[in-house]
Order: sequence, then C-alpha cells, then structure tokens
Amino acid sequence: MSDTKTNTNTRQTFWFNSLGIKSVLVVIVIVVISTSWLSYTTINNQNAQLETHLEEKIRALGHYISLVIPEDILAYDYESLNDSMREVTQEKDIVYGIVTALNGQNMTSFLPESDPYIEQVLKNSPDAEILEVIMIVKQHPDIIHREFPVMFDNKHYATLQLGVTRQHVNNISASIVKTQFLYAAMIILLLGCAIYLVLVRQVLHPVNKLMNAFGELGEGQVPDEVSIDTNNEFQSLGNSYNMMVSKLQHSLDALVRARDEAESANHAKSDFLSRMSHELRTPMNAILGFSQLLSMEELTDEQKSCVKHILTAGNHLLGLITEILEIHRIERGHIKINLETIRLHEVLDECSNMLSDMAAKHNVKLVMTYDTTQAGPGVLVDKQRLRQVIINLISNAIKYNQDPGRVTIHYELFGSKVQLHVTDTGIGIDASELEKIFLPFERSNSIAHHIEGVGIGLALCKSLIEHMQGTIHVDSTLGSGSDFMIELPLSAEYEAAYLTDQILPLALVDERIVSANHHMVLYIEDNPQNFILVKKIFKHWENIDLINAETGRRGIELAINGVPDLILLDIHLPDINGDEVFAQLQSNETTRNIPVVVVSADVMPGIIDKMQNMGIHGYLAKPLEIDKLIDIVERTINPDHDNHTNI
Amino acid sequence: MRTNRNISVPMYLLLCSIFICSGTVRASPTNDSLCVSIFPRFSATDTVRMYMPLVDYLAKKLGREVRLVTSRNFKTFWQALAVGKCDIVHFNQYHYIKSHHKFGYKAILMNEEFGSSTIAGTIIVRKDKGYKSLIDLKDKKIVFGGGPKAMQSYIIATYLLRKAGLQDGDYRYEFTKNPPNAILAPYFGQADAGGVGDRVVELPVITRRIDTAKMTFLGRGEQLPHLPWAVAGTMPEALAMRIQHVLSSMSNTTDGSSILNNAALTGLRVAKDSDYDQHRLIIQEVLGERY
Repeated sequence: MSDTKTNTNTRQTFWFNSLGIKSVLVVIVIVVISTSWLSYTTINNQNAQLETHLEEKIRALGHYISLVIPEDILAYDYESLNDSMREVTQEKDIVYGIVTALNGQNMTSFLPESDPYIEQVLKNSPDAEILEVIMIVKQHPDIIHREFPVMFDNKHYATLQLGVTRQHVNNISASIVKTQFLYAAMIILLLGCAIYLVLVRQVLHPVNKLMNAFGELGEGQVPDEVSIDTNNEFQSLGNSYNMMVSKLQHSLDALVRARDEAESANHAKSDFLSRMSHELRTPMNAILGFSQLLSMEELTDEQKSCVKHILTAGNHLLGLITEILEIHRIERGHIKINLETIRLHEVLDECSNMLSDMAAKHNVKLVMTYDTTQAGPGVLVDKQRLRQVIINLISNAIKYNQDPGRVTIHYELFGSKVQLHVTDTGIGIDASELEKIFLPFERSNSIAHHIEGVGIGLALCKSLIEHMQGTIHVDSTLGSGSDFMIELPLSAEYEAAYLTDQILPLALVDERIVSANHHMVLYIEDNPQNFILVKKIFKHWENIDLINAETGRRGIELAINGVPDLILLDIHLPDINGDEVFAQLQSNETTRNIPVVVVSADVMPGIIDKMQNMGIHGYLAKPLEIDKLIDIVERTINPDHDNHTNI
Repeated sequence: MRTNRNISVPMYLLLCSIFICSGTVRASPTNDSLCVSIFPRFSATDTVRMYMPLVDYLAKKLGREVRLVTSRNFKTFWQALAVGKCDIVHFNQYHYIKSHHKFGYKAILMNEEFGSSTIAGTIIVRKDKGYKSLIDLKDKKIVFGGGPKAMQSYIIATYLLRKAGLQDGDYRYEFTKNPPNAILAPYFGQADAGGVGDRVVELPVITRRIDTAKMTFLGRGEQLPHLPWAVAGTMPEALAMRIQHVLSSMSNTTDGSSILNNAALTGLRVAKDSDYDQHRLIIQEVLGERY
C-alpha cells in the first residue's frame, strides 16, 4: 500500500519534473523570446520606417514650402503667403506651421485651435501668443518639430517651422504591435502545439509507456511488452526492455512451475502426514486407552511396570506425532494463535509445578529467581502455546543437565519487552551447532546419541514464539550450560491491573458426578476397538446406554429412530464421511438439536475447522483423553451425580 | 485653398470681362443700368464682398439696375475707364485726378474711414530700429504700398521724403502689392520703412496680424481728403446729385451704416473736385505730372 502510494507520488512528481514538460516549457520560452524579439525588431523597424517616412514627408513639405513662399515674401505678398501656408499645412499630421521673419516676427502661421495639442495648451494658457503656444506644443513627445530656412538666391529671408504629430505613426505602430502580437501568439501556439505533439510522440509517450511498465514491474506485476515505434533511442530502449521482460517472464514461469511443484509436493506431504497422523493415532488410541484401563485394574507389580512402560512409550510416541503435526501445521500456516494478556508468573508456576517431578528425577534443582507471590508482568501471548514453549525449554534444560544440576528461570524487562531466561548447568552446545539448533530434525551431535528426541522441539518453540511476535535466542558454552532467552512483547495493560486468577482448578475425575437419569449415547464408529474402549469408559455411567453404528447411514437411522442424548461421530467411515453424516443429521428435524461430538484421529486443522463451522458440539482427538471425554459427556447430558463411579 | 482662389477669381474676372465687353457695345452712362467700378485697392474677392451690398443698396434707392465691376489691376481698371464703361468710380486720389483730367470724371463723394474723411501719407518704421527722423532712412530700403501711382503710399510718402531732403537714389525702394503689406514688410524686417496712408495701420488686416505698438510714423503729411467717388462727366447732374445724396446719407440709417461697415467705411462724405487740388500739387512735385 505504502509502496503504491509512494509510486503514485513519484509519478505525480515525475509529471511536474518531467523532462518532456520541461523541454516543452523551454522550447515555448525560447519561441516566446525569439518571437518577441522578432516582433520587437520588426516593430522597431516599422517604427523607424514610419519615422523616416514622416521625416521625409516633413522635409519634402518643408522644402516645398521653402520653395513656394520666397516668391510671396519677396513680393511682400503676405496674403499669398498666408494662402500658401494654409494650403500646405492642410496636409495630414501637420499640427502647426509658422513662418518667422529674420527678426523673429510671425509672418504667417497655421495654428488650428481645434488641434488637441494646441487646444490643450490654450486651455492651460489662454492668453499665450502663437509663438509661445508653438514653443510649448513642440516640447510634446508626439510632436516632431523641424525648421527650414526660407532661401532665395542663397539669401535667407525667413524661417519655416513645422510641427508634425507622430500620432498617426503611433496608431499605425499600435496596430502593428497588435497584429504582431496576434501573429506571435498564433505562432507560439502553433509552434508550442507542434513541439508538444512531437515531444509527446517522440519522448513523452514512450517515456510514459516505459514508466508505467517499470511501475508495474516495481509493483510486482509482469507487464505486457511495450510497443514503441519512434525510430529513435526510445525504441531501442523499449526493445531492450521487452527482451528483459521476456527473460523475466521466462524466469517467473520457471519459478511458478517450481512453486507449483513444491506446493504439489507439500500437499502430498500434507496428505501423507494427515493420513499418517490418522493411521498412527488410531492404533495409539487403542494402545493408550487400553493401557490406561489396564492400569486401573488390579495388577501385579510387574504387570503394573509393564503397563507403565507401555503408557510411557505410547505417550512419547504420541508426543512425537503431535509435534510433527504441529510443525506441519505451522509450515502450512494453519496454526491458530490466540493472543491474550496473561501474567507471566502464572505460566511459569504452572510449568515449574508440572516439571518438578521430572527435575527431581534427574536430580536437577529448579530455581525461580522472581517473586512467586506476585503475578509478574503482563505479556500478550497465546497462553497455551507459551506454556508449551516453556515446558519444552525447561524439560530440555532438565534432560540435558548434569547430575546434579540446576535450572534457573528468571526474566528481565527491557522497554516494552520481557526477556525470559531458562539457564541450565548442562552439557552445553558447541558454537558451530548453535546456528542449526532451531532447525527441524537437527540435534546436537554431542547429545544425539544418548538422549531421546528427534530434534523438532526447539524448531517448534521458535515458530511458536515468532508467531507471538517474539524472538528466541540461545547462548551456550560447551561443558558449562546453555541460556535460552525468549523475548516477548509486554501487554499494554500491564501497568493497569493484575490479572484475575484465570487458572482453573484441575478437573479431577474423582469429583465428577454421574447422572442417575437414563440417557442414550450413539457412537458412530467403524473401528470395534475404539467402540469397546469407549464402551468400557461409559460403563461407569449406569444410566447411559451406549449404542454403536458401524456406518454413517446406520448411524443416521439410529439417531432418527432413537433420538439419543449425544452422538459421538467418527470422521472416516466406510460409507459416508462424518461431515456428510452430520449434515444429514442437521437437516432432519428430529436429530437437528442432538449434540454431536466428533471423535477422530484426524486432527488436521482444515477438518476440525470445517466441522466446527458446521456446528458440532465438540471435537475429541484420538487417542482419547478420558478426562476430556468424561468432561464433555458431563457438560452435554449432565448425568446424575448419585450414580457416578470413580474412574 | 490657393487653387480654389485661383479658380474662382479668374472665373469672376472672366465674367466681369464679358460683362464689360458687352457693355462696350450696348451700354452707356445714359442707359438704364449703372456701372460701379472700384479701383484695385483690395483683392477682387474682397472688393465684391465689401462693395456688393453698397451697390445693391444704391440700385434699390435709385430704382434701377446697378452693376459692380472690379479690376484685377490698375491696367484693366484704367482700360475700363478709358472706354467710358463706368458710371460711378471709386478711385484713389491720383487716378481720380488723372481720370478727371483725361475722362472728365467728377468727384461727388469721399471716404470716411474710422470716422475721418481725411487721410495723410506716412513713412512707418519699427520702433526698435531707432530711427529719429526721415533723414535716417538714407541708404535704407523703403517699400511703398500699391505701386508708383498709389497716392498716399507712394506719392505723398515720397513727397515727405523729398521734403526731408532725401532724393531719388538716396534710398532703395520697392513696391508692395498693397498698402497693408508696406506696413508688414518693415514689421517683418524685410524693409526699413514703409510708405502708407495713416489709416491703413488701423485696418483689421493689420491689427489682427501684428503688434502695431511696435510701429511708429517717422514722417506724416498733412491730412488730405480721402479716397474719392466720382461719376462720369456725362452723367446727368440730377442723377449725379441723386447718387451723391443716396450714398452720403447712408450713414444716417441703420441699414446704410451696416452696409458701410461691411465696406470698411464709417460714411461717405460729399466732395468736389477742388478738394483734390493739393494732391495735384504733390503729384506735380513728385511725379512731375501736371493735371
């Protein structure tokens, strides 16, 4: 998202900083300047020509008058002089004309009072003499004042003064300026458009295409080939880009194929593990179930020892299967982490209590360096998963310790984190092996021979801790012991209040009460051993009848006819699967409200989630944990307490 | 403008010539229509503009047709007199004396301009020239208005110079087209002095154009009768008297005064031939002509 936004911003910025736009602007500026200069020069030339023309006109007029009037002056014919002046000064642009005698007297003059320049002067100086008026008017910037000697036979008789206005020239200039400006604007517009079109075609369009293509590439998409046919460097660039994309596409196709193959293999592995899980857990159900029942019988010490070994080995095997499935679940991303705020001490206390016997057996002393009377810091974790990790670390610390040895558990607060240390005085790990200690199925060579395990515990711990936004590290010295450190995020509510005690008391079977009312439980299960095991458990409720259906359809039939209080349902049945059975039960009015508990060795998250989404009442994994079965029966049908039996 | 003037004036003169020529054949002072001729004191256009109302007034009063004839110059004017075409003629003093001598014209009226029926010939100069007396004009350039037959502007002005001791050759001289220009020329510095009648300086054509305060009369002759109006010698006495009465009484009426003003006159006064005897003496003195 952020990348996309940045990319968009980059493109917007690119638009403003685009070389093409800059080029267009530069070209337009150059065109504007050159056109303006051209217009300015042209206008100046025009003005100069007009000015020259005006000058020539004045000069010609002056010469003409100078040639005409000497005759009048020499003849002392001042009326004719008047007429001559009046005639010539009718010319356009002439503002005034005056012939002055050599003594400066006004012999004749043409000074129209209606002329705007003269009118202005007379308005300001109404009593001004003609010569004074001319003196003022000729100062006006629009007036060209010229004087011509009136000569005859090289003798100077008088002086002709003419005033001509530039107004006409200025009007023409203004008209030229307007026209030039219009032309310039049109030229600029046309040139700008032409340049823009050329730049768009030759530069902007290919650059935009490449930019978009690279943008898509940057966003992780493989764009189509870019088509640029500008016959210039951009076309070469586009061809190079297309070659690059083509090779990239091939590489990506190979990667996709490899990924698909890997995923296919992974699916196959998953299916295999799922099947293995079911296949291993189903016999384990029988082994452990019957071993537990056997241990409850009156046995000789030797028999008890044998049963105990069976149970221990079975539980170990079950643990291994469970861990393998957990690792697989994490790899598939199916692990579900329920983060909640808990107090660290309660988990540590639980774990230490659970492992105290084991520690004693290994002659290892468990040392808690924190105040066990306090709840400790709040951490945001999945409590069950954290407990699983801590148990794993402490049990490892016990197992790999020396005799006698010690395991110290302590923690420290660092900012918003808590660092929990499990330190042992064990054999330690070689530095060369520290890097792979968290990899699945990797074990320290020094311990692999004499300590049981397949090396997936720490890998599981690392995955779980990382799913809880934490980290795990190990610091170890061979022969001196190891220090495993977990860093977890502190809860935001840590400073607020202590958590209420959420530790539920262990539900002891002895305390369970069996209902005296008569109930019926239907167990749809094709495996007779599993049914026998469950039947043996249900013997302890005298008021519960357990009936068996070996197929799904038979189970549905019995459920509809008998309307049991509870249905235990296996998933993998010979005719139809458990989910289909459940769907049919749900579709029937009679059986819709009967609680259904799935009992299956298939503990793949997809199956569990699917069934839970369909609305099952509960899910019990095989091998059955008798306590959980009893608990769910108690909660579902509430057998009479008076008729309970100790299990 | 000049073109227009050049077109209109010849056209008018052509018409006038045709009229005069036709009159030669069939008109005479005894005919019913009367001919009034004005000497070329002003331009033909101005002459028509100024005197036509007066001619119309006279025709109306006489109850007969009166026609105005103008002349472009003294030559045509004199030719008209010579053929006896003109019944009533407005002269300058010299031409009157000469025509009286040659053609028998008799003065019946004289001009009254600016309230005066007399006029004096003068020599006018710019004040800033610093001339103290006419003798200072020795070797200077003098312009005389109108020509060598102009009574006030040349003949009397020259008479003044002669009286001051300047003889022909003691000064350079030229003639201007008309008397006003004899004032303008020294004003503009084209000449050192001008010979002109004293009333000319008061004409609007002068006062509107120059600052007359800058001018001064260096010499002024005695006041003599103004320009005369004469009738043909063949004109019946009664008609002559009738004309004299009509014109001399014009200033008594509003309409008549207005017409006179249009002709730059304040009145027309009764005159007789002997009023111009002094002029005859001066002419003899200056031009050597005896009339």
